[in-house]
Amino acid sequence: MRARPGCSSLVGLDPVTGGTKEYWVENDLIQYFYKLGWQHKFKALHSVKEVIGQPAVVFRGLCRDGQEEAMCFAGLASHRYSNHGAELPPPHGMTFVVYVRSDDVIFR
Amino acid sequence: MAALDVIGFMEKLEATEAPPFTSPQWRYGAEEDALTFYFRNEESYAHRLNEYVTIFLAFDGDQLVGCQVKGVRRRLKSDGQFAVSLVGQSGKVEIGMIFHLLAYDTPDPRLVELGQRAKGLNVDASELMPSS
Repeated sequence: MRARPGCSSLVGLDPVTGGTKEYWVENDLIQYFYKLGWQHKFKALHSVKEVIGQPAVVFRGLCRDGQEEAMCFAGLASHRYSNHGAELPPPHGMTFVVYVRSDDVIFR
Repeated sequence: MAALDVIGFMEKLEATEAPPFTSPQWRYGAEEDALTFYFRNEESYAHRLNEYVTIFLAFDGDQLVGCQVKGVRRRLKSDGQFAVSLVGQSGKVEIGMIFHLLAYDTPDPRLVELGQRAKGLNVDASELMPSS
């Protein structure tokens, strides 16, 4: 596995081939959520992994300058998380979305 | 060198206890050109208000928890009037003013509330508008 400086990896669906590929999350962002005590955001990375691996649908092209090639993976997460890190049932009627830049980095 | 996977990196962080959330919290991410602001710690979901602003609302009760503003630097660079309004003699941008100005584009009481919540918080203009 090829390392990408300052990032951790996630394996997810490659919507072009139907196989899998590596995606990346900046370590600074992960640390940021943890160090500020945002457990529900930090733990949501489990949902990111889940949805990027098995999305219900993938869109390409966000209506925003410079993100014409970015992708959006949408799906149903099996949990949401409390600020104590506890698993809770997923919110009713909501989808979980993951945005990925054209260089395969996950962003908010 | 092999990359650590996200879950492994999380476990590494969790080896030390996380500090409790203190309000308010904000962060400007230069790479993503986005300002994130939270003033409550309730678990929340995202609701896109307009092209620039996504607000975060509590799962329980839909109260405003925080927001993310995208394209702050891009807009400051492309809209001189917007920038002049925000940067005073101190060379700092008051975050609350960003929300009040955005409320002119999208009249929404939640943007006004964000402006009030962010009152007194500021960021160096040079961080938002690097000279290079």
